[in-house]
Amino acid sequence: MSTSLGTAAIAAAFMVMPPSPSVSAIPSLLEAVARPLPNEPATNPIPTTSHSSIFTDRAFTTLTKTSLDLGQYLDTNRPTTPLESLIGEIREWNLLEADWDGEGAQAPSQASIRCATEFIRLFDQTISLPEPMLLNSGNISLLWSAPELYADLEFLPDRRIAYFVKKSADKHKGVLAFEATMSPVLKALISS
Amino acid sequence: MSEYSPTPIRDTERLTRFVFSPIHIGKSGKVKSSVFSHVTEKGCSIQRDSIATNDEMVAFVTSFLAGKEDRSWVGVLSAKTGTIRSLKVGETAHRAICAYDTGNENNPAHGELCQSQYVIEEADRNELRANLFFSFGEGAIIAPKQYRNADIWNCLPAGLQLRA
Repeated sequence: MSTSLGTAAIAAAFMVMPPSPSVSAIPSLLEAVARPLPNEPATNPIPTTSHSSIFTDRAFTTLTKTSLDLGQYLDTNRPTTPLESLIGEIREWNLLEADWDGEGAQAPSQASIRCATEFIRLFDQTISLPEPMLLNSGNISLLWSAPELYADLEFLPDRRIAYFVKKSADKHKGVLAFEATMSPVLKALISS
Repeated sequence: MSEYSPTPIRDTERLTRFVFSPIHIGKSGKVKSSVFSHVTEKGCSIQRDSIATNDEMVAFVTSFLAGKEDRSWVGVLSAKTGTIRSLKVGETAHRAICAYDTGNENNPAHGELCQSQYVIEEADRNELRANLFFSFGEGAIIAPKQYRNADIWNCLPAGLQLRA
C-alpha cells in the first residue's frame, strides 16, 4: 500500500473491504447498524474532499451512518422499547436451572433462546407483541392469544420453528427452518 | 393404576389444573398455554376434582408453594375428563390424550395427562397445547375465592394468601 496514505485513509479502506474469514463475526446488532442500508440516500453531513480516491461517498456514508446509529444504541436515557423488554424477559430465562417450575422441567435451551430473540428482532409494525412462554422441554415459544388469532411458535434448538396457528376459522401447522429472516408464511399468519 | 388411587379416572370426572404465578401467567395477566406443556414430556399434573378432599387440595397448594417466595396460587382451570380424552391432533381419528390416576399417599386424587402415541409430528405438540387450552375454558381461571366456595383459600396459611 502506498505510504502516502494517512491512517484515516487506511481506516476508511478497511471499512469498505469484505470481512476477513479469520476475524470473529460481528454481533448481529452491531452488524446490522454497521452495514450500509439498502436504498439509503447518499446524504453525507461531512463534505468529501479530494485527498484520495479511496474516500468514496460510500465509505463516508458508512462511517457517519455507523457512528450515528451507534449513538442511538448508546443513548442511555431513551426508554426501553417493548421489543427490547420482550427480548430481555426471554434472555433472563438463561439464569434458570432444571426444575425451574417445581414440576421437573428441563433447563432453558440457550439455542432456543437465541433463536427466539433473533426472530423477535425481525418484527415490524404489522406484528403485535406476543407472550413469551418457557416450555417444560426448555424450549421457548411465542404465544398470540386473541379471539381472532391463536398462534404458538416453538423455537427448536436446531434452528427450526414448529408452529400452530388458528386464524379465523383456518388452522395451519408445520415446521420451518429459521434462516435469520422472517418467513413470509409465518409473517402472513401472525400479522394483524 | 396407583395403589393409592380409589379408581381409574372416569369420563364424567372433572379435572383441575392448578395455576400459579408467575410461571403460568403472562404480562397481560392471562394464563399461557405453556401451563399444559408437561403433557408432551413427563405428564401434566392434574387434580381429580370429583374425589379430592379440601384438606388434600390445601396440602397440595401449600406444598407446591413451600420455599418459593415469589410464587402465588391464582386459581384453577377446569375441564371434564371425557372432553379431554376426546381431543385429537391433525387428521388422525385417534385419541391424543390419556388421563391416568397417579395418586400418592399424600395426594390420592392426583392424576396426569399424557400425550398418546398418536402425537407424532413436532407441531402436534403446539396443537395439543392449544386444544388443551381451549378445552380448559380457554384459559378462564376460576379464582381461589370462587373455587369450592373459597374452602381451599380460607384454609391456606395467611402468608400464602398475602402473596396473591
